[in-house]
Amino acid sequence: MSEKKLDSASISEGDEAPELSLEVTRTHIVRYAGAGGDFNPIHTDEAFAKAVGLPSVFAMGLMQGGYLARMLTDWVGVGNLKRYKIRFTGQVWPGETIICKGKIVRKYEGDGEKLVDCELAVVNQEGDSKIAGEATVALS
Amino acid sequence: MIDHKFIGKEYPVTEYEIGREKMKEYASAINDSSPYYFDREVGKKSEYGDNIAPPNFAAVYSLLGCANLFFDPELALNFAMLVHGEQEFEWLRPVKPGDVITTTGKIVDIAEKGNNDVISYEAESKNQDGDVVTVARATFVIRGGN
Repeated sequence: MSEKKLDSASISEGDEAPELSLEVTRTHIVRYAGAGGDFNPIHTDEAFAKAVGLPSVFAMGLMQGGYLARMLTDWVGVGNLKRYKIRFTGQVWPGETIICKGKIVRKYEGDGEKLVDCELAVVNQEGDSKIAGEATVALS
Repeated sequence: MIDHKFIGKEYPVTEYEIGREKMKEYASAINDSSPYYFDREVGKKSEYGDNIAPPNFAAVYSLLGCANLFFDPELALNFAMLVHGEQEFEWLRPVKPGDVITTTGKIVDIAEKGNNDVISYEAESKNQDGDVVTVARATFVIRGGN
């Protein structure tokens, strides 16, 4: 079976996921670049980033997108995530702390499965939006 | 502005073989130490019979073909002004070490929003059994227009 963490009987609309946060360093970004295969120098080469007018390198959106998906699998269990859709609303800079959040907005049944729709967000320590999104999760 | 005649354009199929260490490297890059990704015994006892990749590992195998889009001479996108606007993944089946994933990517929409051009790309990934594992939909914004 997929990992069992959340039981559909024990959750309600409005429930919030435990937050996952990370203080982003250049090392996190470089490590993600290697693991994810995105070597656009705007994310990893400080001199290049400054030369094109940016204050510094910034994280690739799918890095915080990856942390957001991890927040979900930590919460609902590995293997239960069916879909997510995220919109990148702001760049993430080294030194910022990202906070990944999720909230159940709908609990229902479809295709013989117990499903939950979640609202997703990544914000920084000031509450500025970095990602807004939604996910669908299947529960046992 | 990007010519709308490119809506529907398909790119060459990409192939990616899932490697155990690469999968673990990705999980480590998001500080994820789930035993489903790392512990062989947990993997063997799971319904998957092996360790599986974290869901967002799809970013690695399903978006491989994006380079073909970014550097397509016909489109001549202004890569310096390109930003990732949205990303959607549908996960239909997990992937595990040894799976050979083939992905077909195509342009599904081209639009203008204010001063920006927006290009929507969809990629469908199948495993070696022909089963769809992931559908990825990405939108890329060319700031200031192409």
